[in-house]
Amino acid sequence: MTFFAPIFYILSVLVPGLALMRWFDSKNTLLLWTGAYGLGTALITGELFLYFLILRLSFSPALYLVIGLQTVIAAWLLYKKPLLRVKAKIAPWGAAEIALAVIIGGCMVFAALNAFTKPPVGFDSLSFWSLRTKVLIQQGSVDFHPDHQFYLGAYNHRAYPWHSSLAEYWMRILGGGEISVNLISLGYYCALALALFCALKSFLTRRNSLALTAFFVSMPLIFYHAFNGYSDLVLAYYVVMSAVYLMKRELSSVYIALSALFIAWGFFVKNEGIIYILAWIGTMVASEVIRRSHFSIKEWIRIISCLLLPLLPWILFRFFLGLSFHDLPPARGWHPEVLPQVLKTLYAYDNWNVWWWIFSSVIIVRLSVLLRSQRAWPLIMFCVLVFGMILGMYMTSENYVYALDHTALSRTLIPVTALSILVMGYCLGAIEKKNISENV
Amino acid sequence: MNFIFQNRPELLSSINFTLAPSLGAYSAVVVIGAILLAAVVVWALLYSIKNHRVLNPGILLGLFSVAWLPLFLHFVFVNAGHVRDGLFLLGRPYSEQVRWRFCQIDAVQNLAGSLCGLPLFIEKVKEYVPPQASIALAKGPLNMYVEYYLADAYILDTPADRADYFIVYHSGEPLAYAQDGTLYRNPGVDFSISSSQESLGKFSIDAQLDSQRLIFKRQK
Repeated sequence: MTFFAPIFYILSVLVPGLALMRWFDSKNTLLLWTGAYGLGTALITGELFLYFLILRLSFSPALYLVIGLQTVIAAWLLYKKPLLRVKAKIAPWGAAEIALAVIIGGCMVFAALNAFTKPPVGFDSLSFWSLRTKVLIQQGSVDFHPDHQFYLGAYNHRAYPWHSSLAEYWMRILGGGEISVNLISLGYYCALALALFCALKSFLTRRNSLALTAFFVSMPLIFYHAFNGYSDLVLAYYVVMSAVYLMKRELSSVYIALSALFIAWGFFVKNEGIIYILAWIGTMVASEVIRRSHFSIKEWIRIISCLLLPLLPWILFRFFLGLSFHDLPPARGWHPEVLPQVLKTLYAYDNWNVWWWIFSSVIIVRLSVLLRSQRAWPLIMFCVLVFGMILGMYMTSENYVYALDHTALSRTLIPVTALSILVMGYCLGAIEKKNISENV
Repeated sequence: MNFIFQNRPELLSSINFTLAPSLGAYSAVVVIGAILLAAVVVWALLYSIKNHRVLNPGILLGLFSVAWLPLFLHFVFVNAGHVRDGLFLLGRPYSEQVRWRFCQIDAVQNLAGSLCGLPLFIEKVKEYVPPQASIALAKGPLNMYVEYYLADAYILDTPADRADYFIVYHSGEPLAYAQDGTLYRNPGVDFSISSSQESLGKFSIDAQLDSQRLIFKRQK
């Protein structure tokens, strides 16, 4: 792997990402930079999808030129219209905060060391995520002959989305070696941690926000996904970014549009992304009906466009090629035997340390506080819908086998676990607020 | 506190779930979690009755941190070991990194060298089989790995009865190689004619590392 590949990758992702985020939010905050990583990567993979899969073109050096030019134009736009500085007085860091920051930083350093030394060897990574990259590099184009072995890039899971494979492809053609896919996962791990911290800080003290972020980054399964070329953590990032902007929906409808953009992209990361989109739509409709909000036509168009723009190419592509959601032969049924496995994965395995015990204890003692918090309920509704649909998917479809053999169940819950951190933050924030108001 | 220092080796399944260290006969997550849950509920009840207030989030998070700490220390112990073991691979060639990781997992999962020996076998294939030749694989649990490492150099979608090469890598598929060089799939017992028997054509053995790792070349 060349030294410059990750630097070019980050620049080509971050600069256009910042220019895109600038459309929605002009304040120069940590959250803006965090979002820029995800939006920038989505932009690149979206363009590569258009190039290789919609237009069915072969590799051309012009790709470097186009994406390079895009980066330069984005940099020029940012130079002409810089991000607005946010004047914030940063209080001195206490000993506890420094200790928590060291834990978070330490986990990231550990993950980085693993990322640089351990090539992915997981089944999904080698059998399609990275295989598609490898085949695309070798063939220079995507095979569209249904009777060929590399039809749509891999032997199996042909209906799986392309985001991770194309992000890896971009890193690889910039000069990154086969291990460089780990750096993409690592980037999402760090970005997700930052996103959670930024969101938590809006309703908790800095120390408590750091504590919850430290819990998250040190969960064994989350940590392991930071350097193994899977897409579950990537999906978690887009879901969390969407939830973070969903919580800011009262400030501006622009944030709802941004939230829509992030949640829609989740479907181009993993098939499960569709669950999150349905939950998002359900939450939005309920929330706006209850609030009796009156968006202007322009606002509606912006929100719907942001939801459909990333979705439509992938949905139409799937439709015209007849790609099914089913990995296994479809089979409806009722599988209550999944439930003990769900409990096991949440409460007995070391995937999440004792997080779900912590979460449950707070929900038990402070459910009433949480339910009374008007700001919190859309997030809670979103989480409940998502969890319900995931449970429903495993209990009523052929996917139950993946829950019983534990090949996918825990991984599927990574985005839910990330969301639960936000719920916990809200819950503790509501308690904090209640204490303050009672003291006054 | 011995459970903190229980080693947790990396397995192929580590990407799917992480088993907890045991505390006596139980999962440490269950023991610590249940104690925490009980403590929070009891404390919250007593505290709110006495003070007519809800618990301070700082105190709650302090309590959670105490519960988090044992398994966090276990996580640090395990990962420090993993990082220390693999640190020498920093900046080393990809092939070396892959081989090391495969061999680590192989040793822990008792895979009898099937995973560890894979990189060497791939090298052998690339040594014996010319680029862009068509290769068919005997069915086996590790085919996905073999295919990944051969995908960029060979044509892998040719049926076995037409492929230039036939590769066996720790396959569970019943095969028979007759004296005249004919390779059979699903042979009958003692080479008796079986209804499911399928001739793949005549092959010569191009390379044989052992009975589980063979490269057959089609006779022209």
